[in-house]
Amino acid sequence: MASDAAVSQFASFFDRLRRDRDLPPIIPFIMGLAVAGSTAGSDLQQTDDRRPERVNRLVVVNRDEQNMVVIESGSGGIDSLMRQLAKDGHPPASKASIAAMPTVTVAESGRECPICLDQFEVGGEAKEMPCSHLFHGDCVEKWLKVHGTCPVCRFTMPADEEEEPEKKNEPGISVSIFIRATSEESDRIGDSGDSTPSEAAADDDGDHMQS
Amino acid sequence: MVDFARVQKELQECSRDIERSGIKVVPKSDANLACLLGTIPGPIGTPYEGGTFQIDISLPDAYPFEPPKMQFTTKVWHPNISSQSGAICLDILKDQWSPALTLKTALLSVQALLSAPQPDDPQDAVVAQQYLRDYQTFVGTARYWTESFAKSSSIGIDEKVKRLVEMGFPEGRARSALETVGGDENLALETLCSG
Ligand SMILES: [Zn+2]
Ligand SMILES: [Zn+2]
Repeated sequence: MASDAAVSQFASFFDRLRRDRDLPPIIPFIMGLAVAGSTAGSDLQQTDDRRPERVNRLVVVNRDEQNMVVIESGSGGIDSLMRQLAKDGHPPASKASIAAMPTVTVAESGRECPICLDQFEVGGEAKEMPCSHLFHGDCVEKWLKVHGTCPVCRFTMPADEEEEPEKKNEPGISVSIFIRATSEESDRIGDSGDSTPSEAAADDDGDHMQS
Repeated sequence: MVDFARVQKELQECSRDIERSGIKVVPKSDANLACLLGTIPGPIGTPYEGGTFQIDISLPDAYPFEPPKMQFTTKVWHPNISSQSGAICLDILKDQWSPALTLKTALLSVQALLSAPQPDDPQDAVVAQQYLRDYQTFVGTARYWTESFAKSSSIGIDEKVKRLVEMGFPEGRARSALETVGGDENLALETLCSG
C-alpha cells in the first residue's frame, strides 16, 4: 500500500490535473497508480514488461461511468510530470511579481481581506496587487504561489519562465481514455487493443480520495 | 487545515442574509465544520420553481484556497447535474474557483446554473441531449422531478398516479401524463380526458 504521503501527493496531483488539463469532472477517484522505479508503487502490480523501467503512469478509474484515464510520462519522475501538466492553465505568479507588490497602510475602517474575511486593522498593513485590490500579505501570497490571478478580479500576474533545459529530451505525456463495457471489480485493466498498456492496482486506494 | 474562523464568519453572514437570498448553509454537526448542508430554492420561472434543493458540501483542508466540494442530494433533472449522483459541472467549483468566493456565492452560482443550463458542457449527457433535441419534454421531466423529489410538503407523485388509476386510467398513461405537465394533477387529468 502506498504511504499516506504518497497518497496525498497524488491527491493534490489529481486536483491539479483536473484544474489544469480540463479533464471531464466525472473522474471521482484514482483507483490505482503505478510508478515504476519508485518506492511508492512497490506493491503495485506491474502488468506489462515491454515498457522501459522509468515510466510514470497514473491510472484514474471511474467506476460509475466505466472508463479510465491513463497518464504516462516517459522519464524524470512525477515532479516533472506535474510540471509538464502545470504548464497548461493558470501558472503561479512569479516570485518577482509577488515581491514587487507594494505594502500599503489601511486608512479606512470596515474593509476586510477578501481571503480570510477578517477586517483590516486601521493603520495596519496590507499588500496591494497591481489591480489595486488589497489583501493580507500572507493570505494573498499563499494564493499567488499556486494561482497567479487576483482572487477578486482575476487580474493575471506575470509567471516565471520555465527553466528546464533537459525538457526537450523528455517524451511527452500520453493520455489514453479507455471505455470499459462491464463493471466487474477486476483489479487489472488489461488489454486496450493498442500499443498503450495499462494497469491498475490497490483496489481501495480510491477511498483516500473521498476525504 | 480548513480555515474554520472564516467558515464561522461565512455561516454568520449567510444566516443574516437568508431572508433575501433564500440560501441556507448549516453544519451537519457542530463537531465538524468541514461537512455542511446547503439549501437553495429553485429559481422562479424555471422548471425548478417551488422546489427546495439540498446540496452536500465538504470543505477540503486547503479551503478557501481550494474549492468546496458540492453535490446535490436532492435528485434534479438538469444538463449540468448528474441525475444519478448529483455531481455538479460548474467552473467555479473547479478551475475557476477563487478564495474571494464563499459558500454563499458558490451556492448562488449553482442556483444561477439551474436558471441557465449549459448543455454544451454537460455533466449528464442524457439530460443534455434531451434539452437540445426535445426542450418541451426536458421541461416536463425537470418539473416532474422537482415535484417528486424537491417538494417535501406536496403529495408524492405515486399518490397522484394512484388516484388517477382509481379514476380508471392505465398506470403508464397516468404517470406519463403527470410527467408531461410537471406533476400537476388537474392538468394531467385534462390531458388524459382529452387524449
Ligand atoms: Zn487575510
Ligand atoms: Zn484585483
